[in-house]
Amino acid sequence: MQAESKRAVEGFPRPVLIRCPPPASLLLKAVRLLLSRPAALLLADSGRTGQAEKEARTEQYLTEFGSNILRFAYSYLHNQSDAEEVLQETMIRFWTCQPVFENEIHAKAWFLRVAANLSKNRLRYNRFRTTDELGETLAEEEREDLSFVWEAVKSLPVKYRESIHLFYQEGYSTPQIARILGQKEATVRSHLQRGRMRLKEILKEEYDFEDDI
Amino acid sequence: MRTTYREIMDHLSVTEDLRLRILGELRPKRAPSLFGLSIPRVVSAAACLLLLTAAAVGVMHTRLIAPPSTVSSAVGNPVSPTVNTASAEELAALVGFAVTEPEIPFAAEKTEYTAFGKDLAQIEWFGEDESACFRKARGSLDPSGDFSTYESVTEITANGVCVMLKGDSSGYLLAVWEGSDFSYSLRLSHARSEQEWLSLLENCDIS
Repeated sequence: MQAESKRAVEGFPRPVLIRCPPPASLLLKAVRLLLSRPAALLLADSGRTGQAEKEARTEQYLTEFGSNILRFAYSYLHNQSDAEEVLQETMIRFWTCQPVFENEIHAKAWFLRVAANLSKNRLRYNRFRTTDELGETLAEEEREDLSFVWEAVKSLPVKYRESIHLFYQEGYSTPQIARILGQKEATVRSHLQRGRMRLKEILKEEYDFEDDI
Repeated sequence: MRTTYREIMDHLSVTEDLRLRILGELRPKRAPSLFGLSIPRVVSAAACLLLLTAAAVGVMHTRLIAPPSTVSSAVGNPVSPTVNTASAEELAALVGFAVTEPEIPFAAEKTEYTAFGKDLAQIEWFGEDESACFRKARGSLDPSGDFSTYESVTEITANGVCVMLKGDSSGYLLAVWEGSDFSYSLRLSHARSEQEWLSLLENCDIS
């Protein structure tokens, strides 16, 4: 197969003979279409309705899940600008694909999955904006307790962090986390357990880690 | 833990300003309109009518159409394709230049090889709690993708090559250097001292 396609590229492409249908049948089809509804009206209506609907859906989901997406992206990237860019890219994906959701749970999971993939891509390609505005804010507020926990979570490997975030922040169960991250449930369970063990070691304080999952 | 984590995350939210910015970025993506009709739709309709007219006068009965070329135009696709490979050899074959794996200061559990187009090769190592990223790119520009401003910047010479180290009070995280026709970067998740970087780079084929 590969050799064949290679030959096609290197050699002169062979023309393909396409027989057009007789002109009369094409004309008939066009007349039927025009008679069914004035074409200009059809185009104007569908364009306006589609556009308005698109805008309304985008605004609705941005309002509904924007902060969830932003927080999830931040949990990966630890930088406000990066997280905001991921949120924007996620909304662009939605705008472009216009996926149809079964319900709100499905919609939220879709947005979080896209945000996770975009964040991981960003980590791989351009991962190194080091300003952690959230850490700075916590320090400014003199919330040592929160700073301590945040620094501990930040120190975890990405694979633990993503599960920890979805579990503690979004309240997802391990099967739900597995579906969002495209991982096996056992993997998520193990990442959660290891992540929490690591946090316990670092924090050395009484936190309810909700070990039963 | 859940309450504490949520209290931390409550500091982040989509502000009205950010919401408007995002929606503003999306709105110009709409196609421009002509008398209430979308221009692409008008163009499509016009093209259809033109084709029908041509068909009606019987100009075309049959025609030869060449299949679309399998070679994509670089102009139409400005984003470099990202391809993962299984080894440094495959990576080198894909980018068209040699990629020698440098030594890293921890045991890697997983290694990923990625080609970004034909100009940038990347190897990433992931350990239990450490990671490293090596990049080699055509040209002399810093390929690290790291635009942070570092507190500490110094230059060292390893294997006769001048290497710039960047980091903070805890040590250096990033090394950037140039060879003939190529530039390189190596970034570690955990900072290392100048001496540790020196011995790390001296064991590598860095030119």
